[in-house]
Amino acid sequence: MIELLLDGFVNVLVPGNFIYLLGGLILGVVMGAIPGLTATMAIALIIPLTFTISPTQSLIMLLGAYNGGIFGGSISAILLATPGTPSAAATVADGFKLAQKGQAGKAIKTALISSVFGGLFSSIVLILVAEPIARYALKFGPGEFTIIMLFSLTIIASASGKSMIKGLIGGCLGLLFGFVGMDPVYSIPRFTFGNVNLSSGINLVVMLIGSLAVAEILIQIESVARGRTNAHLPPPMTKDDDRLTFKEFKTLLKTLVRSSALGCAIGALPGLGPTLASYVGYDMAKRNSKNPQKFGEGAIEGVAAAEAANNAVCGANLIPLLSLGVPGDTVAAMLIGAFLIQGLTPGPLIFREAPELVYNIYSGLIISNILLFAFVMLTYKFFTNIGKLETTVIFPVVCMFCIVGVYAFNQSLFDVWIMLFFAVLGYILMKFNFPPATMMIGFILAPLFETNFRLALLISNNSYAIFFKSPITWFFWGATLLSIVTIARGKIKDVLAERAIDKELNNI
Amino acid sequence: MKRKISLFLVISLIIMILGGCNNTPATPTTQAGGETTQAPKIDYPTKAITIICNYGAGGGTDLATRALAQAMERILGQPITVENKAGGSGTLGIIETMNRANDGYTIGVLTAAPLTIVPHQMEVPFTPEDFDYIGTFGQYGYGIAVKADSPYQSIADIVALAKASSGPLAYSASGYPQPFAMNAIGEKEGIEFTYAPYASASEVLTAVLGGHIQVAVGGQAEITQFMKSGELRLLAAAGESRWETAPEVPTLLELGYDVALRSYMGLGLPSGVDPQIAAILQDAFSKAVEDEQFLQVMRNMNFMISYTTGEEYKEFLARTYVENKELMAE
Repeated sequence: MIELLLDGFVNVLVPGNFIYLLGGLILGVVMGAIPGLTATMAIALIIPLTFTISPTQSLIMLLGAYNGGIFGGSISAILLATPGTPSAAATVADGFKLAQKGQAGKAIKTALISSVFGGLFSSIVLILVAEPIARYALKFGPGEFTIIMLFSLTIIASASGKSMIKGLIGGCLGLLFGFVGMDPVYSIPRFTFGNVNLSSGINLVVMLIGSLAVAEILIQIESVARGRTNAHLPPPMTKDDDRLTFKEFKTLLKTLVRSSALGCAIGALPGLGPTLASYVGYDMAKRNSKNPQKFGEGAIEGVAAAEAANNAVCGANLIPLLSLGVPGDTVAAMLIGAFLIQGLTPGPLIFREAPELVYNIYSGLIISNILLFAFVMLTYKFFTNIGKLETTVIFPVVCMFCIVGVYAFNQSLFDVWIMLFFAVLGYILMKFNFPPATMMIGFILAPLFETNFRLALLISNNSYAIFFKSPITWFFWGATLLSIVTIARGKIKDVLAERAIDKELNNI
Repeated sequence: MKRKISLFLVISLIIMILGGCNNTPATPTTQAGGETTQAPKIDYPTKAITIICNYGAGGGTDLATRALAQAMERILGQPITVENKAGGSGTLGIIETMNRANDGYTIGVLTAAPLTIVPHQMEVPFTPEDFDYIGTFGQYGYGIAVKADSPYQSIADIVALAKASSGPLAYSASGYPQPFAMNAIGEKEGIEFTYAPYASASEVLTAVLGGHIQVAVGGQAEITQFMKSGELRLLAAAGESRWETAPEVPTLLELGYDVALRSYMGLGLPSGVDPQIAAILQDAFSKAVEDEQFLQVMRNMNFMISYTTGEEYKEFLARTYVENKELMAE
């Protein structure tokens, strides 16, 4: 196997192949960084170009673009509070706070190292144990997914921050918006007000750009109106602000391993995707951190947790794809198309039909991570320089990108209006200190929860036993209970502490 | 400062290109010979043509469309861009086509399901009569499949399973017309099935692979992929004829069930396009569907190639529209 892998490295590094990997990677990073143009779109754009090239060239180019695109999203998340790609949404909270403190360089390097770590981690898992993981992942059916979603909903509570009520309101808003579109079982339009444009629901990209990016622009406009027209981001104060020290890296190690493992698990399960992975990774890091109050205020741990998780999905997506031919998410489904175009059938057959291609893909994944590291280290200064521009210059440009990007996403002006609607809503939520993440999580989970819940009941002829029938469901029931108990305990502690302070104040 | 400006320029340039700016400067076609013309012969095409695909980029219909567009590009000598307008169960792209100018420079991918089935599920502003059709280039095939290591070898086994189970037996599918196949079986045998709707063709099969559901009504392209890897067994083809990829498996018609699912990928124009232009397009289309590279992509994707003329397609759609209205009302 080692021999095959080494052959793979040689094959990928042949200039004729390498150039495709590099091209795909750069296109991915650039498209990922531009709001509205996502990693998914980069893949969709590249596939028609692969009709006439070799399978190795095609697949390493696509994987390079995917890897680069998922990382690229974090650049704009950190510098502009704008997730360039949906999976970078969880990075905004801490990444932008760090940038505002002059630590943009540190944040980008943290994101980069985490992404590469997550990518390499999942590549190794893919190479070593893909088949058993994929077989196990198939055991997750609608019943199991329903309970996982129930567990994931508790993330809303822990992402709520100071006010649980506001967090839950945000979460419910998200759930509500998630229900817009066709009823998943009866195919009847819901909450569409008779508008065909709404019949396939609100797109995650459109909503994220509106409620995070454009809302942030509105906040900036407000501060400019108040007379603040200095440079967008302060320059680094010390040398350490621009880099990630080895000491810091060591403190991140646990978070990186945890997030990468979570990313792998979510990537291997069909239907979940990198955005959910980054939110779950972030939440788990926060719960296990010694200083959870630092999360959302500029913790490098937060950036690392989200970015390691979403890049781990890239490699892990290939686990069910290569070993069974089952796509894990939209991007993986497109990769299946890319295989088929080459006349290859993804799945167990491919190990017999084209083993050298499989190892080329493995090596391509590993090399794309190393290449990503080198490319960003060489060019990141170029990106952080954006921070030196004045807000009055940079935000109109960002605003234009958002509008053009959202329009380009589906050539739909209607989407632009939806984006503006969410911009206003996002602005109001930010002004009243509603944590924006709760709305996103609710929005992502709503369709997943509903569809799986209803499918489970259809399959079981309305017997609720389906939610208790396998050890997987028991495990997630347990995790849900544990999660609720720890959140409640934390809240009670807070309330008691507040009362004690009140008492002391009264005594004085 | 210069560097930043150039960065923005480069990025905005990329956006423009990606954003579907399809006004590629058209080089005027200089036609040699036969200059002394009689009737005002139409000069078409003189600029880029757009094809609106009603499904998302990177999916099966999109890739087939792009392969076809490349072939037509070679024949017509003008660039053809594919614009994706997904959503509304495939109807948004069709509405977009209807609303574009009927100058012959916008062609729509008009698939059968959103034209003949979705209008009976929700309000849409069109009927199949609102378009001029160029023809069909591909057919979506369907079949009934079970897990390869399951004990069920035939449709009769599934019927027995359904009769023996306590409640209605659930099957997975991803939208109409697939459920019509199971409805036909249920009607004849006097049994009930539950339709468990999954969002995509691959999820339909994943549910069966995971053992969560016993039977799937899936797409030919996807089922063939898993038959090759030995994970699924096809019990019956649900179309008019047996599959080329599985000639030993009978159709539902042969088994005595009165059902044959048919759904096509076709091209069409907003109605009222100049007949001369339509004729040029139909001619180019009929050549493109024989293009070797297009055929190769279709074969690799496990798609059935199905060429019918615009006339035939229009007739098919009008008939199916009425039939489905009755079926969906049940």
